[in-house]
Amino acid sequence: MTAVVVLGATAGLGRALSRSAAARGFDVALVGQNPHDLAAEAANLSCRYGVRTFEITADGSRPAELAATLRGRLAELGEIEALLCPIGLSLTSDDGSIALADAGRLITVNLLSVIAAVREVVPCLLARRSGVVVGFGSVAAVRGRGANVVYAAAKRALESYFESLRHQLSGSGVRAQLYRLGYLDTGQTYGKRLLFPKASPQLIADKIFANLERDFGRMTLPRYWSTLTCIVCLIPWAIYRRLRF
Amino acid sequence: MSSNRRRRCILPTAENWLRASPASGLLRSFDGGVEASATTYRPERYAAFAEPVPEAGPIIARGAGLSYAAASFRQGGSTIDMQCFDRILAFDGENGTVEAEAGITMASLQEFLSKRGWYLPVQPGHGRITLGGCIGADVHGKNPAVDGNFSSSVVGMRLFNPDVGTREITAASAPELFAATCGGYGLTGIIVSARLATRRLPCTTLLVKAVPVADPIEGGKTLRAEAPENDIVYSWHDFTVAEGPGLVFVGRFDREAAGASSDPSRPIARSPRLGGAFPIRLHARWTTRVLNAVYHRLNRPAADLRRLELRRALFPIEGREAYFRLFGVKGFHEYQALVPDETYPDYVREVRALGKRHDIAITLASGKAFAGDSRLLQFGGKGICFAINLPRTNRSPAMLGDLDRLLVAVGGRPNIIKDSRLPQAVVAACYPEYERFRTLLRAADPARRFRSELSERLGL
Repeated sequence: MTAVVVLGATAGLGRALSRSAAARGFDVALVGQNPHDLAAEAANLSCRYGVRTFEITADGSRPAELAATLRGRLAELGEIEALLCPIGLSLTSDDGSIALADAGRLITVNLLSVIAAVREVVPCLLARRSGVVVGFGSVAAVRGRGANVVYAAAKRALESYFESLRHQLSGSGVRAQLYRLGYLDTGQTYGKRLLFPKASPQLIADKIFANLERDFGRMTLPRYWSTLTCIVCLIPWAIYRRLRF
Repeated sequence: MSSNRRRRCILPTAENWLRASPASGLLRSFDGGVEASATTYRPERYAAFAEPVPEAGPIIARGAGLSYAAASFRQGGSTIDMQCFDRILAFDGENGTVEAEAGITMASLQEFLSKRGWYLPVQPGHGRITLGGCIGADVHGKNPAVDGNFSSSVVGMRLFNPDVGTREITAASAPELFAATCGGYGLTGIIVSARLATRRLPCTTLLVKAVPVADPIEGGKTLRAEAPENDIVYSWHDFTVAEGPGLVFVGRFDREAAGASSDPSRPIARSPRLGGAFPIRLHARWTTRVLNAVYHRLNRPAADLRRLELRRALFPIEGREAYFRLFGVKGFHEYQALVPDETYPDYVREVRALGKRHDIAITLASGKAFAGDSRLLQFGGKGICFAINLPRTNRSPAMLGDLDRLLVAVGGRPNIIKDSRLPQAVVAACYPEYERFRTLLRAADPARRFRSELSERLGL
């Protein structure tokens, strides 16, 4: 069976994607920071679905090490069908005044770690002339505001990166998809009073797998966020600058 | 300075040591009797339980939050939501031993087991209840006289206490802590995972018959007589009719059905939610009469045995959540008591009389036969377990006070997890090992870090 590689597989959407992959019979390479969490998730997938799992301990804030670790393990995975990159980091202090080191960490985890993984995995997909790379942006990146300043910048850069990747991979048989995600019920949103309901990560993960064979550039999930993001983009600056959200 | 100590110095708050954001808000007991403002954390990673955190303040674990008795929160306290710890960690297909994290729901766990030809004989009434909650409340199933309580399935546990970190305990390695944790209402630590012994699943359907009984006293005799030979045995009674006639449901696995080892029941994702009461109470005397008549009619004895799928048999409340919503936002009371066989007839007669005297409609009454011993604060022993539901009204506290006095007089014991009002004095009077449990609790948790509305009310 072919394998799916999931960055940030031990929590939130990454965990849900791993379960969706295993439920569909894919072997799953779980990439995460903590060996204990990886072992628990791997055990769960093996017990429930009988698939092969690979625990790859790597830290998204160290892209060079992440790339080297992945490089060393790719051969044992066999054929790879997909690279899913739901890795992300946000900080409540990200209001434009955060320390340079924290800004660097946000950019590293949200952007560079994905680039590092794509650089290692895409050659395997190209060799098969098949497969998909999936990135995860955020509705926060649609229009800049006074909160999540660096996070939104990194996610917007990720959108641009995936646009380029799709262009580059065009005609190769390998697809590049980017999801712009609204609120999900994960640790990132837990306890926050939000304007709109939070979607179940498992439902979103199942939709992503239902779309895996499709060739598209960008999709917003949950779908109603498409309308909301359009509205946000259309708000005149004179009004937008007064909004606090 | 060691790295551990350095880490502890920068991890003084729950937010930091649990690596989880806080959520502040009101939490409510399932019966609607207690509401408190608490801060909830939902950790996702084992780092939360990796090492001792001596600076941690008072905490209590929470699973599905369906305890009637406010066991998973405290006013102004910190609650640790374990629902992200929902994984199967190991399974031995030879002997059926399964290890799972405490936040897994029983429906999810049973779905896993059913597909492999195993089952847990003792399960609570609804599939959304978590493994940790089943251990903490030492729940009983559908035939406690034969199967005992949930603790009879527990082989071992991983228990976290901020003073000592996480440790593996079994009945052999830490007998007192193990006993105090099974039915310890989460007060000995956070149950992170547990190993369970399961039973071979003969098939995924049961053959069930409804035996009509004239009243709960005859029902008690039927329960006692049928329990040894059957897999599920429980009764239902209509207290809107004078004597409380009812039905005793008696079921056995359809062992002659050919090799069914997969559970065709609904997927877990569609397990219905409990809670979300209607704004007003719709359980009135006449609605109760109508609902009971309909229920009686739907379940009337038939010539043929009815086939019941395993999940329906294990989780009979699933699909009937609206019953609880009909009590409205004020909620309801459940009074579940284990009464010795000898005094059970007097108890039932007096319960019925109290309902009339206080002019309160008993919306539901049901019974089960129990056998065996009770330890510490576990709801167990020999007798007939009789439960009633009534709406939460201005008159209900007086009736419940009378029930407390009656229960002490007949030598029974109340189910602590089913009543958010139960006074300390009643528990101390009915549970001979109440003081011993307090002593064990102080040995297990000298700082008394694990606290809930339940523990505060019961003086634990």
